[in-house]
Amino acid sequence: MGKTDLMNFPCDLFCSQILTRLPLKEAVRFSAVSRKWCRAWTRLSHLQFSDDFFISISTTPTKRKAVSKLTRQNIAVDIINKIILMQCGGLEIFELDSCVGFESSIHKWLLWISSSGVKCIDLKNNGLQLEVSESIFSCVTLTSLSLLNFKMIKVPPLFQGFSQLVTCFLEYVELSSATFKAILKLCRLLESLTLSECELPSNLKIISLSLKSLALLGLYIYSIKANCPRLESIKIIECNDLKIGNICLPVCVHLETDFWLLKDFSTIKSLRKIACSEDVDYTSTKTFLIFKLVILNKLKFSQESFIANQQF
Amino acid sequence: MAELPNTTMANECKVKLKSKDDKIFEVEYAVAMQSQTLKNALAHTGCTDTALPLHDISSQILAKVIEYCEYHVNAANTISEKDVKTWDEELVKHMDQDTLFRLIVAAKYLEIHNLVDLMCKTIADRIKDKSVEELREIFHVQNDFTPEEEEQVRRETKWAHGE
Repeated sequence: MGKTDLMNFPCDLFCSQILTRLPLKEAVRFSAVSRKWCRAWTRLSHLQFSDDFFISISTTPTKRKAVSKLTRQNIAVDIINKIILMQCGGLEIFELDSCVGFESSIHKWLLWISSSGVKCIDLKNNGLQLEVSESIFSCVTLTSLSLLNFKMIKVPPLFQGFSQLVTCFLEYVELSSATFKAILKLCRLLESLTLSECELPSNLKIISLSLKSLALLGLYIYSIKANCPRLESIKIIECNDLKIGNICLPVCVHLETDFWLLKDFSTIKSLRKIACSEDVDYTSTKTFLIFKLVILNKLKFSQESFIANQQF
Repeated sequence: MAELPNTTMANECKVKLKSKDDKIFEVEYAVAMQSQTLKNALAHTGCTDTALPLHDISSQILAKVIEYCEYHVNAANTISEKDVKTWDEELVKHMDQDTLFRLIVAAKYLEIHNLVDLMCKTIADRIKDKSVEELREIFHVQNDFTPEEEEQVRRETKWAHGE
């Protein structure tokens, strides 16, 4: 019976399923095994420049003498340039876990990967807040975008939108009202949006025909108005300046929020499901009574649809 | 029996699979449903007595696939995640490369994503932290570079070969 060994194993399958699971350094090193694999690392579907990657390249002894931080950064840029430039298709996920020192290179990198049909970009900036590179708007094939610690720039006039974007995760991102509105308007397939510790206009207006799930975490906003006919669930956690009367949501939405917000819910009439994000001490009589009053009298739904500690 | 028609069918339907070497395997419907490919096929044909031919999968490999699927169907609600993980690890622990590779191809064809994941993770773990020479040994691969070619490869990816 014919043997299926490494030599007969389909190259594409090996690259996309196996090499991709290895740290980048090891995936590249595999190229020295034999001729068949010498370019396998140019077909990786997932490029992750993680902290481990940066550690692994900095321990490579080049000349066995102490190198300055700048030199180390230049070496890293060279290596990353090479890796990205040599990719010849099939790249789906691009992750960069450190942006400090790469500000000028990120523009190039994003442009290069934009032509490869990249689907998912995850940029984490671990230093001072950086402006997002304009090149991000060239990555029009994105289905998922994740940014940590950036300042969003104005949307370029020619930008037609991330027409395939389904998921967007923004943490410590600063967004102006106009930019936020433009992005929502131009991303017509956006279903899931998470805004965590972002700087946003304090009267937040969310207008999206496609949005199904929304999470607002630690925002300093006073009011929310969500004009999203398809919205199914919303999470509002630790938005301490938010006043209950200032939340305007579509009906029949699954809401998960903090207890202190929950107990004043009088304007939301027909929410189907409600969940409390904290462990509430229901043994306190006062709390229990408030809770019961709100849930059973003000909100029209059955007890089964209440998802929380069932101690009462 | 106050069961819904489709549940009854699910309970009684046995799916027949034919391996490359013409061996017939009979599995429960729920077990077959672990495979997206079989799920789609059965959606078209319904429960049938004809064996579904799997032209590229040998009986040895098919048996292993079925073993995996049967365990996972039964374990679904009854066995703890930790124990399932242990069982998975035992399954692959001493598997040779040949079997692993053939299982990946079969699992990919049958679209059993958990199995593909498990197999690929196992191979990736075997590759991790090995030198190039060790890798050649593990995978029974000859070094077919000319000295000049090998020098070029190593030079291009110098940073990855440190240590």
